[in-house]
Amino acid sequence: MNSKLTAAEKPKFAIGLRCLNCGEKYSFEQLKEERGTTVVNLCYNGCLGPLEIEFDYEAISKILTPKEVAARPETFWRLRELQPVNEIKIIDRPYTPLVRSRKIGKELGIELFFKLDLAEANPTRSFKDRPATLAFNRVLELGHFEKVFVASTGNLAIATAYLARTNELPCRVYIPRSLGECKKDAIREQLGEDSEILELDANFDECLIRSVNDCRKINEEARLAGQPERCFVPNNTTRPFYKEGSKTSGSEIALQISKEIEPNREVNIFYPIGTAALLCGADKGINELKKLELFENPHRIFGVQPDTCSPVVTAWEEIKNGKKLEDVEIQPLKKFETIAKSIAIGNPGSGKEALKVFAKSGGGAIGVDEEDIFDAELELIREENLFPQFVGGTVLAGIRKALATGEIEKGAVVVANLTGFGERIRDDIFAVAEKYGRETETTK
Amino acid sequence: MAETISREFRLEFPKNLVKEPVISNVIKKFDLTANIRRADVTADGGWLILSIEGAPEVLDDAEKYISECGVKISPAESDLN
Repeated sequence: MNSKLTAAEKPKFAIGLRCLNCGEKYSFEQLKEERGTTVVNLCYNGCLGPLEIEFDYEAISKILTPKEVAARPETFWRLRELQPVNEIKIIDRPYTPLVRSRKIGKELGIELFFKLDLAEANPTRSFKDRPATLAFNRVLELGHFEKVFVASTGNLAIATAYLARTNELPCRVYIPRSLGECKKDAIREQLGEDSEILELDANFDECLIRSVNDCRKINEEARLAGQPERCFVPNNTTRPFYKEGSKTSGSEIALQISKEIEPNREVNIFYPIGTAALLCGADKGINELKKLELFENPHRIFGVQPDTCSPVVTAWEEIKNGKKLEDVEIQPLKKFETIAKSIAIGNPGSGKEALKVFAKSGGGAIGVDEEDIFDAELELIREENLFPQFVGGTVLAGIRKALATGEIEKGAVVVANLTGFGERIRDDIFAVAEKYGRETETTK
Repeated sequence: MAETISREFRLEFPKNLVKEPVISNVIKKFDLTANIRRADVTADGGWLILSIEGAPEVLDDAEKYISECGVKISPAESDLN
């Protein structure tokens, strides 16, 4: 196998990869020589921990000056030097809107903004378009991938199916057979002709294992034949690239909110916690802007989980009770159930990293009651004319609770991330309304 | 000799298997090279991350064997959710 790097294999402003667990570093040249590929997701020489891309911020700072950034349009690739790319393969799109609350903010006595990742600016109306774009850009640049596999209970499958179809790559989506019909329909709508859904009598974890195993087998055969990889799993095999896409959530919010408020005001940003990768990526994106002197407002990151699935909140409580951050582990949950299905994750992959983000930014993790999630969801629909998935209700319920406990104060600037469009959980909303004996008029 | 490859796994041990020499048995039975990279095992159970080297079809059999012993085995990447 040729171990010389091609132009596409070395992202322009990336130095290499670093293990988040043990700190072992890898250059792209080293990856190519030792593994025959630059698409590597684990620290293979060390602890097999997750890898993260490192950037040359000195070089980036010479290009991304405040003047240069201000002159660029507000689009996804505005800060492309901060992404692991050489050539843009995925078509650009506008920022998702950041809008002021019409009613709820006044009622709560805070300056409330909504970041609308559920809006049409995201091609499939969820935040998953962000990381999936980076994974696809990478494989399209490399040019030797023939198929994409993905396991998902919704938004990621939809984003992946869309990107596969629009870039003419066959896609196989692994889903639990028990997935709601609205979600299945939304996935089917995005599938190309040569793509398929594999419904398994399995839970999400088992679907994920199957997808990774299937991908690995094909790539092993290719490797043994001296060929490059043929398949990828966006959030797994191309994980280091995928992960960088979430930074755009934070950097967009920072550049948008700085036009709305004074530069010394603190911004409290609320995210849902599923895997916690989004909030960790967003925080990284904001800190990069600070490093480049493109954003100066202090910021705090909060994460919200349903009480019925809250391993990160439990770990955060231990820290609040005096335990040292380095001594706290996320205890995975085996059994959990919540109406906010897209964040029903018992073992959040970025949970530990999220604890560091909360500690460093002065934010925190908040657990919320199921009925409060539902009430907040209805409030967003009725009062703001917004239709997020229950995850949006989770975030608003978290803001209410943070105000009640004094974690944020009256008058605070608060951003609520509404990460996915509610249409694809319409059947769930009716089912939950019936369960709680609530009027469903406004959800019709 | 067939060409060997390396696969990385996450193994989860239930309480009743913590004292069983599952790793030792699989290495002997399939003549593999194994390297434990990280682990957290107590008397109540635990997990470990390891890489195993061998021919692809032998690795398939070893994976099946570990699973049949009652240990949950998945690709090491599968917890990068």
